[in-house]
This record gives sequence, structure tokens and C-alpha cells, in this order.
Amino acid sequence: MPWLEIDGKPVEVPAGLNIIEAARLLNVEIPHYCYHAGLTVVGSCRMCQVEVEVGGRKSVAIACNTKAADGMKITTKSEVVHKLRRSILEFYLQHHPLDCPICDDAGECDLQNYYMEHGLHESRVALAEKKHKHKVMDVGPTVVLDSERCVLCSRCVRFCREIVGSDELGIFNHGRDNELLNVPGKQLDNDYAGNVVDLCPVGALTDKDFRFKRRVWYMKRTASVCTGCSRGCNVFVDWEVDRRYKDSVRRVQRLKPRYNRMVNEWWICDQGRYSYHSVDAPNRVSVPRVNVQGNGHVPTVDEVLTRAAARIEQTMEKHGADSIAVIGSAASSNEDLFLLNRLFVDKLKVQNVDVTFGFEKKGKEDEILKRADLAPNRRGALELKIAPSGDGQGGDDLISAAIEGEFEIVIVIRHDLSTLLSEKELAKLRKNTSYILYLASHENGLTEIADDVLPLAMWAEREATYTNFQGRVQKTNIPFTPRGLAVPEWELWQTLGAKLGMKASYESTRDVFNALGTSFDGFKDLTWDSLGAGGKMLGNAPEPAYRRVQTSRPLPAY
Amino acid sequence: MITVRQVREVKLSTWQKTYYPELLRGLWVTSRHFFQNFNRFVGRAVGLKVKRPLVTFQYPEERRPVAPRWRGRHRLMLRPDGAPRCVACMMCETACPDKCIYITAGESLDGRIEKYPVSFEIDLLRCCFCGLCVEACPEDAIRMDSGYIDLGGYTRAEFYMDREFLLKDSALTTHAQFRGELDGVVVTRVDLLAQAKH
Repeated sequence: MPWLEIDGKPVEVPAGLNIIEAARLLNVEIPHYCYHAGLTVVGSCRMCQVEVEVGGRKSVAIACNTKAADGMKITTKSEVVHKLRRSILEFYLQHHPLDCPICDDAGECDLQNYYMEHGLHESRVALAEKKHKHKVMDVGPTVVLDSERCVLCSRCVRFCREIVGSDELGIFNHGRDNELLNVPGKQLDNDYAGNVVDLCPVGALTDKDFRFKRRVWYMKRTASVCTGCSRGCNVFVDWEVDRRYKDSVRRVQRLKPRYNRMVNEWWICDQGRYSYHSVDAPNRVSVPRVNVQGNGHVPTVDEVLTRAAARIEQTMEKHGADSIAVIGSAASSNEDLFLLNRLFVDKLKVQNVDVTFGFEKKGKEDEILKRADLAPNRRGALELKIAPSGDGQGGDDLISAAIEGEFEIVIVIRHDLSTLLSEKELAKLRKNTSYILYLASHENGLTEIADDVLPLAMWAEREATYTNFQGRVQKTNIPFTPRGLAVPEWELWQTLGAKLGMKASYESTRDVFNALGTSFDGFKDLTWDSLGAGGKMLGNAPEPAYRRVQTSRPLPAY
Repeated sequence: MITVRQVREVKLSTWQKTYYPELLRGLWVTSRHFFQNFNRFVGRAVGLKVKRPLVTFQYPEERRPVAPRWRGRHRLMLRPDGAPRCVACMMCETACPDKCIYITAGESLDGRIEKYPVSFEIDLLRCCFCGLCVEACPEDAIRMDSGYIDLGGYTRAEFYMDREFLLKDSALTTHAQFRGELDGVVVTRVDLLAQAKH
């Protein structure tokens, strides 16, 4: 392990690390555009130049393509370095349109940041002499390119080539006509296209979905986990609730990937990236509903739960516990499933509790990130013994049995049975069941026919833990309060349980999670705080082998 | 460097200490100005030639001019091609300490500047007229030199200015500082000049 000195501070770094990464260990940030830890090194931007002294000889080298070696003395903040960066920045800004006021990247733009740190020079090119290139150019269904702002770092080109292997972007022409464009005949329409926007150090590539919606400095950032599939990619939720706008219902503005070496590295898929729309969708269920011909009175959650508790008690007395079926969801968090288990399995001795997987939608699977299993917490359901059949067939059987009229009460969590079942089957289910309680986050066919509907808080509005397919328990954090009267699922079970004689008084999701360990071995050594930012494996299992997130056959690197 | 200045205590004479004579003297000064001005106004109203100009303005028929740097109700400016100058960069919204500006940006596909304000609203009831929005604007799109000094209304909604309302005054030139002039009421400029000289 080489020992070297960066800005006068000695540090020991793993062999093979380049100077940018070595400096990061000391929290020294070396400016760069083209270098990205997830991509091959091209060394084209020349911004990361530092002074390197080896054996008494001083020279200037690019930090991205110079491996840290024993005895190196590196200076990142000398006058020579500063002057170099200043001159290089001037080249980058030579034909830059300086349209920061209308650029979405303003505020998180490296060109802006480095200019404020190093440049601060007057432009020597008159505005009229600037070279004009393509503006507002569609490179794909989700991304817009502004060639004038591009610094030709080729990060996006390398991403498409090395990670996705689709090779849709390229840099064409020479000299000052040098320009980023689509490879002829190709559109940037791969499943990971949104990542090029995150990669772009300037505002050349912008996201159509986020374009002009908010300025970046308005938003606050919360670390969370994507619940789009069983991968559980780490994300940041960027949200803004302070300002009144015409579209003020939109709280989550965008999702950005959060680095987790063992799960998703720097990337997320587009499906997950744009999945946040459902959080602020107009068809959210925000208040409880009792589907009886009434006077329009909006019941409270407690009123509905009292109704439900009375119904359950009556039915238990008359027909026994076997007349109740609970069709759980693998999209519920560990805490939700734990209290569901305690209430129905432990307390009420209901046999017919199962999570259905067969009815879950199947996604497109690839070797990069996407998984066919779209349930974010399938592994957690197995671990918490909510799925006794193991394969999820039990849940499907429950639904079939419910349609045939074997149960008096059917409790459905999240599943939109109206799209999963045919109209005939749904009508039959309604006819054969005396009471349907539906816990839903969105309006659908089932909220129309269910007896009682309770609003559920969604993943972005609450704290929760999910167990991904590897067995990694990861947590989400709260950015803002749930819409309307919506509550996390476990709170509903706790309140319902209190009315049915269950003793549980958890104050927060953390309490519930910390209590999981006493009942389930897998969660024994896990506490909310020990999960950290990157999550922990169930039952202290060893970390799975590191696998670089990319297709097995990327196109050859440069 | 700190300097110390000695202030001598004002010693009142016995006459001043008796209080009432001084009070009456003050009243006399006030009354004299009132009646002088009153007589001049009445005199001018009945057609007499009054040498000295009036001290007060006969509001609302006459309006007092405001300085060019005076900050009044906002207005939005237009480009020569008729589009709003504003590019919805949200700088004013960001700078606003009262958070009374609400802009919704949109994308224009007609070959003009790609970003424009779909809606631009200012809640005047929250505004503190600090002028930071004008300072922040990189496009000279928002100004506070409309010269409107009398802001009144019967409902809160009247103080909620939308984009069209703000653009209405874009044609005002900077030197047209007189609301009265724009309304067709002539301000006696001679009077004003004499006032300034006096």
C-alpha cells in the first residue's frame, strides 16, 4: 500500500488508486469533468492537473490517469495548478452560451462552480463571435441536448458504451465543430438513459421530466430507496413543498441515484427514476372512505378501524377465524408485515394470511439493474413468515378461494384486484364476500367496490425498511408528511389491533424495526441506526460478491 | 480613531422655563403658515394673482412627482418582438425575502428563448417593496418604476397581480413618472418647477 503526501498530509492508499480517488480519502476534491469512478479514464478534460513530485522532480500530471505511488508528493492548490485550470476553463467558456438563467443545471453545474473557484475572468470572445451549435435537441424520449453547453467530456458516450452497451451517443466533427450527437440512426432510448443527465457535469443533457420544473437550489434532499423492483436501488428524493405554484400538488421533483457499491453503484433505471410520479398522482387516496349511501361525511381513520374491528369480531364469533382472508402485499415494508403478522397470525389465529406474488406484475429483467420481481420486499415477507407457502402461490389460491365465496371477510392490501381479475371475477368476489377492507394508496376499481377504504402512506412519505433480493435491509427516510389522512400501514394494524385486544404500542417505525429482532432471527442484530446509509445483510450474512453493474458484454472501451 | 466631542448642556433662560410663552410662540408659527397658505389657495381659486407658489398639493387632482429611483408597483417588460423579457430563471423569486413571487416556467417551441413564464404572480400584500427582485433580474424584465403610488383595493384578490396585469404597464417610459399625466389629468409643471427652485 503506497504512502504518499497530498497537500502536505501523509496518507496510505490502496494500490492502484488514482490521485483523484486518493485525494478524496483526505476530503480534497480535485476539479474534473471527464473522470468518473464508474467509467474508463480518458483524460480529455485536463481539469484535474496537479503538481506531482517524485524523487525530487516536479512535474504536472492529470490526477485521473496517474496512479498514486509510494513517495509521491502532490500539490493540488498551488499557483501553477490554479493558473493551469484557469486557462483551461477559459477554453471551455470560449464558446459557452452563458445561458445560466435558463439552464436547468445552474446551481449544480461544475462549469459554474469551477469558474467561481478558479476563473473569474472577463470573456475575451465577443458574444457575436461565439460558435453556435444545436440547441434544444431531442436525443431521446427522455433527454434533451444543448450542444452549446457541452464540454465534450464524453462521460455520456462512455456510459452508453461501457455500462449499457448500446452505444447511442458519439462525438463527431473536428476542432471547434466538435459536437456531441446521436450515432446516426440511433435514439438515446435505452432503459438507463436518464443516467447521462446525472453524469453530465454541465447543463448539456437535461431531463425532459424535470426540465424547468424547479431550480435546484429550492429542493431538499432525502436519502431513500427505490421501491420499483426487488433490487432496491439507493436513491435521493429531491423534494420541495415550500412554494405555492399552480402545480403545487407535486412534492417530489425528481429521483437521483445514490451510490451504493453493492446494489446499484452510481446508476438507476429510468423506470425507477420516473416512478415518483405516483406519489403525487391526482388519484391518490387521501382520506378514508366508507362505501355506503351516506350523507357525505368523511370518516376518520379511527372510525373506519372501529367499524372494521366490530366486523371482524362479529365474524370471528359466528364463523371462526377461517372465514377471514388477508391478502398481503410484498410491497409493504418489514414493519408493516411484522405487525400484520402479529395481529392476524399471532393474535387472531387467522390461517389465511399470505402474500401473493403470482399476481404481482412481472417486470423486464436485464443483467444491469432491473429485476423481473417488482415487489420490493419479497425477501422480507419470506423472512417474516408472511408467505407460508414460500412461493407466493398461497396468496393466489386465497384470491381464487375468495372469488368462490369461502370467506366472509377479505382484507386486501395494496393489490389492485380490478386489473388483476376479470370483471366477472371481481363482481363474483364482491357478491360472495360480506365485507371487503381495502388498504390503498391509489384509486382503482377495487376502491369503488370495497366496503371500507383506508389511505396508505407511500414509500416516499414515510420511514420504512425493505429487504431486497440479496437479503439486504435498507431504510427510507421521511421527507414530508403523508398526503391527507394517509398513514403508514403498520400504524393501521396497531390501531386495529388495540381494538381487538392486541398489545402493541410502538411510537415510531424505528421502534417497530428494533423490535423485529426479538421475534425473527434474521433481524436479530439489526437496529435502525446500524442500518446506516447502505443497509445491512439479514442475519449478518456475508456481503455478496462485488459485481460491477454493467452488461456482460459492453462495447470495447477506448 | 475615536474622538470625543463634548456637548454642552443647553441652559434654558427663566423666560423659557416658564413654558407657556414658548408654547404659544410655537402655535403662532404653525398658524401663520396655515393661514398664509390657506389665503394663497383661496386667492388663486377666486382668480387673484398670487406671487408665491403653493406649498401643498391638491391631491388627488394634483400628484406629487416621484423620483426615478422610487420603488412602486412592479411591472414586467417586453422584448421588441412582443414576448415578455422574463425567461423564468427564478432569480427574483429566489431573492425575494417575502416569498411573494410565484413563477411557473414553461418551454416555448417557437424558436424564441426556450424558457418563458407561463404564469408570473406577485402577491403585493406580502411584498415589502425592497427592490431585490429588480436587482436580481439578469434580463431587466422586472422594474418597480411604474410610478403607481396609490395602491388600494377592496379585496385581497386585487393585490394578487398576474402576468397580464404586470405586462400592462410595459410601455411606460421611465420619465413618465406621473400617474396623473397618464390618466389625462394635467399636473401644473410650472408650479412644480417653481417649487423645486424655491
